[in-house]
Amino acid sequence: MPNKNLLTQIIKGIQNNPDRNAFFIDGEHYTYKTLAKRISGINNIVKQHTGYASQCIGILEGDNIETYASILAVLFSGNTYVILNPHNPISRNKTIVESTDIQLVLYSEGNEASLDFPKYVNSLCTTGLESETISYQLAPQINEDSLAYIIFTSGSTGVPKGVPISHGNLTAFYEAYSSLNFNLNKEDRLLQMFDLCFDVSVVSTLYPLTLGACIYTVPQNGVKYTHVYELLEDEELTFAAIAPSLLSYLQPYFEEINLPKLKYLILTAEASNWDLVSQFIPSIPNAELINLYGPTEATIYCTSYRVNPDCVDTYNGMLAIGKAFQSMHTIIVDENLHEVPKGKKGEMCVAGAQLMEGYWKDSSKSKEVFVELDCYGVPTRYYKTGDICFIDEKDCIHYCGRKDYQVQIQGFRVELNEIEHAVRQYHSLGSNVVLAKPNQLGNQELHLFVEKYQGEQSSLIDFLKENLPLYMCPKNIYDMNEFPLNSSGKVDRKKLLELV
Amino acid sequence: MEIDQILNEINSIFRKVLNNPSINLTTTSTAEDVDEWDSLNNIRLITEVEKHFDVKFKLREIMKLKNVGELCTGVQKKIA
Repeated sequence: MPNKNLLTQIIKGIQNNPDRNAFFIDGEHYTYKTLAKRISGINNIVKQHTGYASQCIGILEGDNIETYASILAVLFSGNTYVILNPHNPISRNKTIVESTDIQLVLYSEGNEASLDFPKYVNSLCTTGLESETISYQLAPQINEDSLAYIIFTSGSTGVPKGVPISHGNLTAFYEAYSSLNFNLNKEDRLLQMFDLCFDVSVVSTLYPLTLGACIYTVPQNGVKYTHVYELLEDEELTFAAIAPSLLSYLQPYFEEINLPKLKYLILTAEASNWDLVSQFIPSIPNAELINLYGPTEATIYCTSYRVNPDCVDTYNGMLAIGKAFQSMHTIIVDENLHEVPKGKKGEMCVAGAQLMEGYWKDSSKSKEVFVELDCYGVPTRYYKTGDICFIDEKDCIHYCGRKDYQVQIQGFRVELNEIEHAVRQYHSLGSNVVLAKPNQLGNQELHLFVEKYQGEQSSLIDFLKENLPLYMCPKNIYDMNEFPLNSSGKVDRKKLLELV
Repeated sequence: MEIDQILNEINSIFRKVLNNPSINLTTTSTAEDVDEWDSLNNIRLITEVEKHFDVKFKLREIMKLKNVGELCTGVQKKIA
């Protein structure tokens, strides 16, 4: 493994800063030494369960030190971590546990209610686990190909898709991310506001540890934007990666907000509306703005755009996504997979060391998304992102929207088909359509249209809540006798949207 | 206005905004207790409460509200 391996750097961060704070969680600080003790305690137990064979280990997430120590313990032990969200329907977590052959689930006190897994799965409570003897050894079996984590995203057939990311992918990402040259050190205070099922949380958690800096976490349920604001202002955070929708919640209060200590504001997970972002600039007078883009399949981020407020590149009011990371190559192609000229729109494809090998146990889905294209004369494996983009005269990439029926809801990528599939399990008599429309704040909201549905709306909603994560449950339901059709005989989605 | 009456009116606002007629708030209810009470709905709830009682909250005030009881007291102070 190269010298700049992310895990090696994290271990250095821990060893060099025992008395500095590593985490601030729910009002409490945890030093690097405490973190190291927790990691070692969990690592010992994990090793007893797994021996030296690598396997997938489930972590039932919570906003606590045990969850973060568990992630690091699983990584250090050479196993693969899979986050299970206790707020997800039990059936979804069960599907993930079964498909990854998870035999050990780590959980913390308070999460027991979500532990409904097959009998062969061992559940281990990590609360209070620690070891006075700290081990800084990485498992010898870790190599470029071993898997660091698997993240499950929405899948159109109703089964979530697993995206496996290897240590090689993660190292390539880390090297490219470091070369963005953030002026950060152990004195810095960085925000981690993302759900651990979402891959931006990986960099928000792991990168600060390489610096010996402190990570400030946000609970995942309830009202997030007030928590984020509280941390930014009261704890004087210097670095924050946020989803632009957070800014839309804060917009009515921009005049009250003053964050002179913030050095960097990263915009990610969704397209960034420049009009909104620019209104926030007076509140962050000393911060540099950076727009970061990337599909989970290509390890967190793979393009970056540093904003110069005096000369901003936008398209339809949205900030450009900039240029490819050093380890990645991008190309924009038409329907016949031919590169389009500058200024022309097409589907963006990405290649490089950050790209996953393929979806977890789903070779047919992998075949659909990978394509071999020419890269400077060499046939190269590219991932088709499904994002429509173009490159401008300055070689800057602009994002224009999704190619298919995927939308971003609260930063999560949602396939509308998956929700329609779930509705059909309950009501198969007529068809149904799920559409997304931005609300007054500019955030996407889901609307479900059902044909020939006689039942109570509330029972359909209850069914969906039992089977889908809350962010995938439609906001409104519209019953109709039949759907309007367009000239080609397909459901007229435009007309349906007009009803919203 | 009495806290009970404010709570009652806030409860009706919650039921309407969250589209859930079975919500029964108490002064100790928090966002953890109500499934639909997330960031987006918090904006809607605050906006509706502000409109209904003709009051305005600062972000710092909203941030400090730890439960429904504190929201009621907040409204009570502002309309007094």
